[in-house]
Amino acid sequence: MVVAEGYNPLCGDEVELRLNFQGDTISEVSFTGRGCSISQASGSMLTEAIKGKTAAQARALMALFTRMMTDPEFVAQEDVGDLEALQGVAKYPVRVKCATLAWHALQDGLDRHDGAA
Amino acid sequence: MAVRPIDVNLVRQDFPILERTVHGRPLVYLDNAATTQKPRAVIDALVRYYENYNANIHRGLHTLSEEATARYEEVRLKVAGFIGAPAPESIVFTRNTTESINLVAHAWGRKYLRAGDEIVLTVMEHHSNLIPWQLLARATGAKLRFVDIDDDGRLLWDDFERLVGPRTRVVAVTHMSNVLGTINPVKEITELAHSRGALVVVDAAQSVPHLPVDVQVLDCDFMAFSAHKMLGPTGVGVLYARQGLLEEMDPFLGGGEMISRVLLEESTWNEVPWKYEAGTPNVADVIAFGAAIQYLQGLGMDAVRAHEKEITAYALEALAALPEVVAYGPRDPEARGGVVAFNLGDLHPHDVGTVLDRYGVAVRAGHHCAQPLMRRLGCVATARASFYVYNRLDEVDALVEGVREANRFFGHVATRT
Repeated sequence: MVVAEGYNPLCGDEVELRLNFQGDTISEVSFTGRGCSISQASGSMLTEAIKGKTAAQARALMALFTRMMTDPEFVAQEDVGDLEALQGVAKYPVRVKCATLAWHALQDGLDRHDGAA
Repeated sequence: MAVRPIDVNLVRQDFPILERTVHGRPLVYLDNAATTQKPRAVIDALVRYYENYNANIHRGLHTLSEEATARYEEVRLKVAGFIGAPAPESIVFTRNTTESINLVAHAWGRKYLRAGDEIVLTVMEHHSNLIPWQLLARATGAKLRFVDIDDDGRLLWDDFERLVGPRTRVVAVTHMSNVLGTINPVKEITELAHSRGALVVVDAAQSVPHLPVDVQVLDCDFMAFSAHKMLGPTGVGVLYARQGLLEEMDPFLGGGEMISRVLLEESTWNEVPWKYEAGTPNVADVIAFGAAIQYLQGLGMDAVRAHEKEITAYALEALAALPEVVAYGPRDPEARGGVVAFNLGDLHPHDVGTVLDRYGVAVRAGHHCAQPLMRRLGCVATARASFYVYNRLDEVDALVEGVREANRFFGHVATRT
């Protein structure tokens, strides 16, 4: 199991992800945290979105989500499920960090899993 | 002497931006501690300068330059009068409060402080009256000491008595907290500091715009504040220095204007205050700042204070009626200015701020450039409403309604497992 944390000292948002892998697939993922509604919602949605996906698929989804957050004009062609609800955050640059916090923790978790493999 | 109260509806007519709507609702601007809106007179002064007499100052012989120079120096005199300074030469124009304080830390601090000397600060300081002293301490080996606050958000006088001692060279303190609103007893602090051989630097960013301030009554050695927090444009700050200090200090920024005679290897300095105004200054905005001072003098700072006390008292009472709201700072409106930081239960201030924004209410949410104070208060961030001359009591009602709505909206979400 990989435990990955994200923390933004400027606003106090905290996230913790626990990832279990079976081979290259993310078999289990859970999320706990404290902070603003966007950071927590994003973390929660992340767990639903990546469960059962491979690490590569999770990374691709992360790149897609980051694009959604940083480019207000961007419209995702793929089906991103519940994550679409966060599309509006892109219009509030100050809040983008809240939405991406859990995803940066995910990246950290994936990197460490790859490093250990 | 009776104070003519502010007619807020008349005042609001002078501020074009207050006509704006935000998300379809009237703008309720309650972020004045961050920056203030500008009256037409200030905007016009800026435009008039560029349309009629824009020129570089101090160097030119031609008419435009003479006019611009005269107008610029006129504002220096105005600022001196506004804060009760004895002469315009005690006023240096900088970019903002932060730059003013950095100027003192560099030009005075680096020259005079030695390892083991002490700098007394407080836990409620804005980062701009903290970081420059941290950098100075690191560069000189001086030590920082901090005066704490009580549960009401007031400085502990005993800490001053205890901490200001024979090694103390400077006491740097905020006149009014940008989070707690606490108005600190600068006159008494200065008496104590002077009796023990220390200078006093006052962060007046929140006080000069909102209270009558007289530097000779306060007797402080340095005072810093910003134009944009007092109806003036961004890009202009002030450093007041007691007579005699600027002459003794090292220069800050070097370049044109601050020199007298320049050889290849060395130079002599201009007289004060021009010794501290290197390069072309922010001429246009200094001139517009003059219009802001004039506007405030028209209202009268006693009237401004009375107006804000009334709104703040009303706001504190209204927020106290909401059981989930925690408001920080002194409960007594006499002891504080129109800055009200608060938290709503477990909700993150960013979420409260976002809901308020949807109602057209502009507040700030975050650590307000006071992370040590946040830690001292036991939170990471707060929401903050701050009032000024154009705010009305019914705008406080809008704030409270927005806070209620945030509570309602997030209420059923707040029970997290």
